[in-house]
Amino acid sequence: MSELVIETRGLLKEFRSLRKGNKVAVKDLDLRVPAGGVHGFLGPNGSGKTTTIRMLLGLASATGGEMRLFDEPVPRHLPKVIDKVGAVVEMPKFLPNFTGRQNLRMLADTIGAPAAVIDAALETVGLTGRDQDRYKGYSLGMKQRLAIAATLLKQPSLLILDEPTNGLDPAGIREIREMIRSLGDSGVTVLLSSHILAEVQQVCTSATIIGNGRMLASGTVDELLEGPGGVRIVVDPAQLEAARTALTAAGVEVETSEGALLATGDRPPQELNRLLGESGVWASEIGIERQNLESFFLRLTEGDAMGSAAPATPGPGER
Amino acid sequence: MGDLLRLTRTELRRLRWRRAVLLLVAAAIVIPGLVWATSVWSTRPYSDAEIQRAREQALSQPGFERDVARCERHPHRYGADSAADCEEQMVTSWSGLYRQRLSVAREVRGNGPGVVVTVAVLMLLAGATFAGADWASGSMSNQLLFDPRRTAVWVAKAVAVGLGATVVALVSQLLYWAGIYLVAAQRGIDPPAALRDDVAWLIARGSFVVALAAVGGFALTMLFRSTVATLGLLFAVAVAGTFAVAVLPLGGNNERYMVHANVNAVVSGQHVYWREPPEECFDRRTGGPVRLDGESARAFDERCSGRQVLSVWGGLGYLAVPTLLGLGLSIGSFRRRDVP
Repeated sequence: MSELVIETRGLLKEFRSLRKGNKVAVKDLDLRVPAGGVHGFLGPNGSGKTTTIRMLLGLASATGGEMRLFDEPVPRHLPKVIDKVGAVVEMPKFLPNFTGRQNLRMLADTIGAPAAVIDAALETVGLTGRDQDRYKGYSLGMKQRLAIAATLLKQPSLLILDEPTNGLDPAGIREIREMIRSLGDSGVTVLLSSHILAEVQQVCTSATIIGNGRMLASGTVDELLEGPGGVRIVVDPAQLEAARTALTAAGVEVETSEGALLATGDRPPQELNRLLGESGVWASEIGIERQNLESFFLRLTEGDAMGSAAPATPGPGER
Repeated sequence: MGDLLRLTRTELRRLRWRRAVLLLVAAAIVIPGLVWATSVWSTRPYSDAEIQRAREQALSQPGFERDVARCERHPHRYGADSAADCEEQMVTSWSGLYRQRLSVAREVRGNGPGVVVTVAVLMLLAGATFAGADWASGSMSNQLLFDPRRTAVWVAKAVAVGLGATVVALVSQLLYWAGIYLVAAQRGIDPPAALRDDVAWLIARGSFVVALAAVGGFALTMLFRSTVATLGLLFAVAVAGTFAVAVLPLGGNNERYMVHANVNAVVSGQHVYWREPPEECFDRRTGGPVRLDGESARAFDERCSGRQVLSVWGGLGYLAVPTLLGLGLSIGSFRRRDVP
């Protein structure tokens, strides 16, 4: 078992309001992020991801439970480890009338970082040349880059990124993805909270999925995607319904997906092909489709709207 | 300690870079400058020709010499600083040349405290907008990601605001008084040496009040997390608070509890006000004075004039209560509440 950089046990956060009553944002969350690599942190809107991150960083207080960063209890010992943690929480937040460089300078001065670090961070995120512009004139993508530059001022061992590619153009998304990957490769642990599941699947080595403030699954990406995704069968559109009927009659679970059929279960492709042939339907294409993170995520969080009480379901990594 | 110094230096730089703060600092220099210019202009000496004409007019009036003689016996009753000033004072009164000479003593009583209050209001706004910008932009959370020690962050910001306001108050007042003394010297006016001490104390007390106002504005905004809420509260206190104190049954001593009286006591060194004299001082039927047995006129005056003096310490004690309460609530709230 590798060393954990983030660990929570029974983490609980309740928002108390006299008008709206109490609302549980995070409940009994056990989060474990091992050192090194990129760890995805996934969940539907309002599932408690940002609240969890904010509690870890001392911006919000936990109602109950324990949190540790680098094996130090937080928030009590947060000042001891904060220099090792870089974070972008939700939207970038800087003073609008300051230039990009002035904003970074303020933060660098707080930790006594030299000006050369600011130059390096600006160069890494591609903002050199725009650093003297006022922050309020930046595009959303530039604001995101500046926020990432701010995290690099500390040369962190742990980077917590909450939706870091929001507002970036495709080229920017690719750059940030490459940057995250190379940071992960260089030994920095990255906790990546994102809605873009394809991106998480491409970049992350492990992931935790939460819903309604509770952990639903956690493990390496390979562990999470273990098991057959299904068999994808493409037929003449005119025969789609006949194919579905034939397979369903044989006890095969079938879904329609993007104009094709997706047969789940453990029947091999050749048997499905035979069943179709016996019904006079000929497949134009047939092949195994591996489960992807998106389908796994959607299956886990199905009907998981905020406010509904979904019980914690152990994911593959938890079994 | 080293960390706190570094944080304070950072906050001082943030303060210097805030445009709204710079505008308020500029106003804190320019407005006293305008007060100075107005004072200098309104006390400019009359020309020799104007004085000569006025003197001739006055001397030709019956009773003029008699009034000068009376003034020389009681110069202060006639608004003159000394008996030597009486003829000029009487010429002024008789001829309509009411423009007064520049008087450092009058500046200490009038415009000096006015300058302090103006700068205090401006620095209160600076303290409020300094904290308000951090909350409005959300950059407070960013700062805490670099130093999560909330008490240290609060203290560093408050120290920066207090120091900045003190420097502005000192510069603004020193410029004002240097200007007054310069003009006085040019006009051949030699203010009494004792006034220098009064001016020095006014500058010192004024700088303290300005710093207190700035830190107060900052602390309230850290509590409410909004500049508008702070200004709203202060406006409400200024209007509703004064009205409430005025109608409260405080035995006719209501002014003692008004903010302006206590601020003036601290800034000016004392605040003189009048309250309803005790009922037993005057006859209900005739309204005439009722003296105690053997009571001198002076003793009666002291007992029954209703004159009250609010001291610096009295004013400080009054201001300390809301200030300490505000600072305590502000720092406590910042330590405990979630930061957006």
